[in-house]
Amino acid sequence: MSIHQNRPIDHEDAEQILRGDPAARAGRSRLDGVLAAAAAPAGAWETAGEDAAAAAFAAAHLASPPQRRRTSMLKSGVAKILTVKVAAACLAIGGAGVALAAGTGVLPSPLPKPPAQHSVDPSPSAHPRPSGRPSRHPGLPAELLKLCQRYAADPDGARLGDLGRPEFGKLVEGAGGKDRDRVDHFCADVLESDPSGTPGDYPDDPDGFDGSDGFDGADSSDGPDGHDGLDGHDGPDGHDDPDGAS
Amino acid sequence: MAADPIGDPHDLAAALTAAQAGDEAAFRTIYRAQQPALLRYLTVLVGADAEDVASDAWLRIARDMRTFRGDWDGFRGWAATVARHRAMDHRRRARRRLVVAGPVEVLAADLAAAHDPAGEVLDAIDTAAAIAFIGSLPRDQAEAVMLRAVVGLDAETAGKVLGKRAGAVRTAAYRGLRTLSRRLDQYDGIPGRGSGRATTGMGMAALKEVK
Repeated sequence: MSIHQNRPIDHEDAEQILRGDPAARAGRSRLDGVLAAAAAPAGAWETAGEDAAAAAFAAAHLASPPQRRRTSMLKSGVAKILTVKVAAACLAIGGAGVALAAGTGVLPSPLPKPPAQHSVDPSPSAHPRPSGRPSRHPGLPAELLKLCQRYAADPDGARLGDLGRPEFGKLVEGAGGKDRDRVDHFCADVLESDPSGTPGDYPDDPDGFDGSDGFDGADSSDGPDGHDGLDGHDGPDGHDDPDGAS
Repeated sequence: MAADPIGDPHDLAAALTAAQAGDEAAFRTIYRAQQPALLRYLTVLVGADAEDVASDAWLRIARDMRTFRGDWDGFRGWAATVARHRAMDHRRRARRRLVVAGPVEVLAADLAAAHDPAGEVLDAIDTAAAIAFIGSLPRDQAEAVMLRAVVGLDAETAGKVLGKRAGAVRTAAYRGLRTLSRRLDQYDGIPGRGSGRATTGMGMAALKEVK
């Protein structure tokens, strides 16, 4: 039993213990025992979900190419074609929306119901997840959905600024103008029509973690549960289509 | 970290890159490296529901990891963040409070069990006992200790996960360790625990064997 055993731990001790410093740990053999046990090698039961996770990974990878790593996408001819299609579909929807707005005096729905009156027929891929399953087609809806999720994730005050950012260009285009209300309505429709309904996904946004403005700002102000309000509209499970995992 | 069965950060950094390019075997490597620590961390947040929440988190990680930008340490922080958000969703939905048993009693019971040298299942009991003991701390302290000592994050990364400054995480972890240490000392003095300190020593020796 170390002579230090009963000396109260100070800040510096704690840092050394947490870093696994052997000398600091040696002086706290019982605490070391607890921490070592807590970090002991995995039991087999702990990784029992590996196959399910791997299946989800495989499904996600087959589903669509990464949407933010365009440099690699653009190297492929297929990707180029898809990009053109995306742009075309985007313009078509934007155009239809403007036409509708002009005709009816109301804001355009970005996802018009079966468009008898539309001269431009949005391709089936223009409807995000119409069957209630995640789109398996890399295209406009998934991208817009993602953009809307990011847009909705931002605090109110930041949204106007978002509209000027290049990465939201497609969203502005899809909504029919760099107008706060338009984009708000547009995204409300997009998110509502997405059966998986995950506007709250953004706190997990991979880009947010290392980003300078990260997700921290979103929930740092209301304590440990602070993100609650932000992903409160999550679907029942908060993730997309568990079926897709298998 | 000790909970990491592979351990070499270089291998894991390479696995991360490969997994982001679609390599399923690399993803499995990452899963095996991170899942135990995430599961244990989740246990202090959602108790027995940790496995379900971890599965939920891995679906998200599997789906979104291609767009993750950062190194291996950053990835571990991001994965912990995903897990934490899923746990908070779960807590909110379930509207239940994690029932925390008396820390000393829990540990004492498990230590008593650990004296039985039979069977490898004791490894799990020891780890579970240690996590339950840490989980008996106020949540901010328990999270800080778990993220740093078990998930193996530095204070800055743990702060990102928790939405706190690194200094606040250090303080919470320090308070947590101090409390744990004090409770371990108290356990020494509990009557009826064999020969007191000696019994505790044996119990902790049993815990340490799991290392």
